[in-house]
Amino acid sequence: MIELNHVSKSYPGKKALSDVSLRLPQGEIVGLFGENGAGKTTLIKCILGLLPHSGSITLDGAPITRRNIARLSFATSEHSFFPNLNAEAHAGFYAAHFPDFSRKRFDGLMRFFELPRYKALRSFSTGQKNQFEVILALCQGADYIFMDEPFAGNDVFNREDFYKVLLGVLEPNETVLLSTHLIEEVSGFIGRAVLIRKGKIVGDVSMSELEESGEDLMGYIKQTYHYHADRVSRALDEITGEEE
Amino acid sequence: MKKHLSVFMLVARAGVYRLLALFILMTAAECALFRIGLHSSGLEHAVRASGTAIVFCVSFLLVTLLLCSSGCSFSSQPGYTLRRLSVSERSVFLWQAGYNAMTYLILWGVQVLAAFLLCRIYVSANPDSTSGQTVFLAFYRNAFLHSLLPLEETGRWVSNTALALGLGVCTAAIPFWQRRRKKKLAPVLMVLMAVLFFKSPLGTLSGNALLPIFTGILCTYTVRSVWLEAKEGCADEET
Repeated sequence: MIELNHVSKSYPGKKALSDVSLRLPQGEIVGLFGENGAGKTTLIKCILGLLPHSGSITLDGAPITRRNIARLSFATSEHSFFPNLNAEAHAGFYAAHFPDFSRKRFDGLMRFFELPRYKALRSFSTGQKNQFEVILALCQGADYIFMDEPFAGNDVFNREDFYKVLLGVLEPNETVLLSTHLIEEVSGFIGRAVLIRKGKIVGDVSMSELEESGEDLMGYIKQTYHYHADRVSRALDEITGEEE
Repeated sequence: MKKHLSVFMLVARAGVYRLLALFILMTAAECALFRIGLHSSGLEHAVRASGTAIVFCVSFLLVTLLLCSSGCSFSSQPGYTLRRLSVSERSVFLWQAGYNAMTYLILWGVQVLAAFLLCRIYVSANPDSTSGQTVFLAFYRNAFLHSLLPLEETGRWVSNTALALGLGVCTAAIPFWQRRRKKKLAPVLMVLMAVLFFKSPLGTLSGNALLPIFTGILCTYTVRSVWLEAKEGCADEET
């Protein structure tokens, strides 16, 4: 289990995370939702040790260091691959560094997405780059897979394929923390939703709890964020209304 | 060791073909330009007139650019992966520095071979007025040729080797700092110093003493700052 206790992170002039405590047990697909700048990316980067922070983050009770970092993988819309290398070179490199790298899964996913194996990644399209980024994260052999807006730039059919593949390949011990704005698209397969706003966790609910209460995810998020559905019409009235 | 070797291969694969192409182009350009001044009076004059030193300088700057650009990335953040490896980021930096230094040593070696080739061309074109002695003297009297192959001037051998190592270390720091969105002046100073002082006549203070001293200072500063920055755990990156 990954456990965050009172994690805070500040950038100059801005508090990005404020006293965040969270538990991520193995075998869950967790959606991480929040507006732009809410702290989703910062939270993930803190867990991965890419950003210094206060508070503690542990993996099965131990701090996350180079010794256990291989149990965590990361797919980001910023892309973390090496653009001058091709897919095969990446597979070789990952296999050398991550002992549980799954060559079988890698080959299967490469075939499924019909990605070129011997072409430098810098010449891939944005969609292909996203696909490859997720493939690497899924094949690393990690127990915890962190995805930060992995489908930014992919069309809806492509994303649909992704979701199906994700559900099909995941083992029961694999956990996915998926940060995305595509709430309605992922609501069908996530098991839990974590809501973050201005660096604070403002909602944490399992989909079964929502189902029992008869509420949908979008409704829960709007309620948690105190979203006023009439704010657009009020703003339009103000903008287009006659001047006194 | 396999993990470390894979890091070295990662660094090497990023630009090895472009470097090879550049070495070939450099030699070809020098040979082509040398043919123009082939019938000048004297080998040293022919080397000067053909602009061999300028071609080498441009090639050196291009090699530096290639080494820096192949380690840097603006469209992706490979640093996220590098910081999750089982080998430390310090090791990645050292492998990059080693590869870069090796590249500069190879560039030096290729240029020495190219210079020999030019001399051979000159001797074959002027068999009556030249001999092996002409080539030997040219490598003593011409500052560029002497800097390439310092013969018995041990200080210059040390200086050149230190320069290659220093350039390797300082250029390896560029992608390291780029991944952290930081800029440092030491690599620029190192490259500037190499351009200004590599070509020094026999027995000069700048070539034999100042160059290795400044290289040592810049290298120490660079390694120290990288070491302190690449702390265990996480990097101080601000987004």
